Amino acid sequence: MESIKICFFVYGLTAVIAFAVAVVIHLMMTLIHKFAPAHVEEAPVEAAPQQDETEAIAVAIAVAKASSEK
Amino acid sequence: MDLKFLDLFQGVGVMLHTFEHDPKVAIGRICLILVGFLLMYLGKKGILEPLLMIPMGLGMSTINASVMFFDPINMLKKATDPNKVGNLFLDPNETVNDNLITLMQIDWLQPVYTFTFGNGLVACLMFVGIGSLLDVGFIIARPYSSMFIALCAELGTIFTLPIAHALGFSLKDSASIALVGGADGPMVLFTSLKLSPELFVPITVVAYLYLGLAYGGYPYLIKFMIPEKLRGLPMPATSGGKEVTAGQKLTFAVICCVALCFLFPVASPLVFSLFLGISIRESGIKAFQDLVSNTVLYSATLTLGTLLGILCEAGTIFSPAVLPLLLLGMLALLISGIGGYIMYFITGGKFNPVIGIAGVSCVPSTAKVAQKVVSSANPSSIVLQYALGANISGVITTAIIAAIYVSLFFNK
Repeated sequence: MESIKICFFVYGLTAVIAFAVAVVIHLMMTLIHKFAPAHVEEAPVEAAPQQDETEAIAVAIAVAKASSEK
Repeated sequence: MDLKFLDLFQGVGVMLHTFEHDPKVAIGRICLILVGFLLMYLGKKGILEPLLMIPMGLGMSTINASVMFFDPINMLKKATDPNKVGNLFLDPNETVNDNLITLMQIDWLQPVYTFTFGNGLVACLMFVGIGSLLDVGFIIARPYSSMFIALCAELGTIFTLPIAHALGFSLKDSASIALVGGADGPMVLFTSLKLSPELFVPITVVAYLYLGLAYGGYPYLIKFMIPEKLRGLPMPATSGGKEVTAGQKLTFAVICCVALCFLFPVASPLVFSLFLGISIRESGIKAFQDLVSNTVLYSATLTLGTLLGILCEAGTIFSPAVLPLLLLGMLALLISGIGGYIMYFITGGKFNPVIGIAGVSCVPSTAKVAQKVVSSANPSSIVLQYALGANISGVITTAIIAAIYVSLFFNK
């Protein structure tokens, strides 16, 4: 009997928390759509600079340093 | 020179000795060697999950072939039992610290087992890797239906507990066994480690065996449970006009992680690991994402598969508790598939019931299986986005249940 009570308690609590998570997601999306609709259309965040970009920046810094030393 | 044949080829000697003293274990050992071959064959053919089955199958066959007369703990004291059998891989049942230190200097996989498997680290690393592959946009687009399907898929996890308890298992052990229904390997590993250290090895092996079989067995289960007409039911292909950006996904991950860890600190290592993976993916740090989704995930999978195979030694596996575990684990998984039917009836026949199977949180295998079965019934029906939403929700609900079980029973 105790185990049946436990299983109903656990299921009930899980359902409440899962529903709360769903409500949080819903509210978050509603608020974003209401107050910052421009962000909805924005592209996903850009990835970190690619290796060739990083190298290009490093070369640019080196060139800038060299020219300032001259 | 006095050299006996059976001393030279100890594997043969041990097998004959075991046949004489414990024929069940000897037969089991031969069967497990053959099962190992079978798992490797099915993994190679792609019928079962090869990433787990290849190392697991080889480990299973090897460990059962390489048992020898060996007593490492008493070896240094010159008080060895000549009939005691062991191996040079690991001993999962050793819990005395001094003996463990001795074993770590002798058994080559003992340090890996003790420092990664026995403390749940490998489960957390797998969760970081899995998290980096999860797109939470699917659940953000349909939070209520995804969570509902995941909750229905947890019925097996819930109702197996009283059944296992009625069969004589303690509440702690019953909770660990019931969690097999969540079909989430790292979660089962973590929970059984916390609640049932004595049954930890057989429960984890049974759980991962079922997860490995899920890829090959679930299509048959779906075909058995759902008629073809319903399997091909089309679903709307759009996301309902809701485009979810990476920033929104990251916000969700942060809020969800902190809230769940605040509510259930006992399960926070797993919850944190999952959301760390998700955060790395959504923050766009390519170097980290490559690291966790490739190196970390595949290293953890290889370690896990190898250790699971090595743990399948007949002496460990053939305990009286394992048969009920096999049956209860299967029951838990069977009950878990009915969520799709409930949604089908609630929506008046507009919801494809196959998606229900994806609520079982074996990410992303069950979602892929659901799409594969639906495509075979109706090639124009796409359910993958719904299935992945349910799948990710399944991870969250299983984490919640694991956390509640651990919180309830950990100090009892």
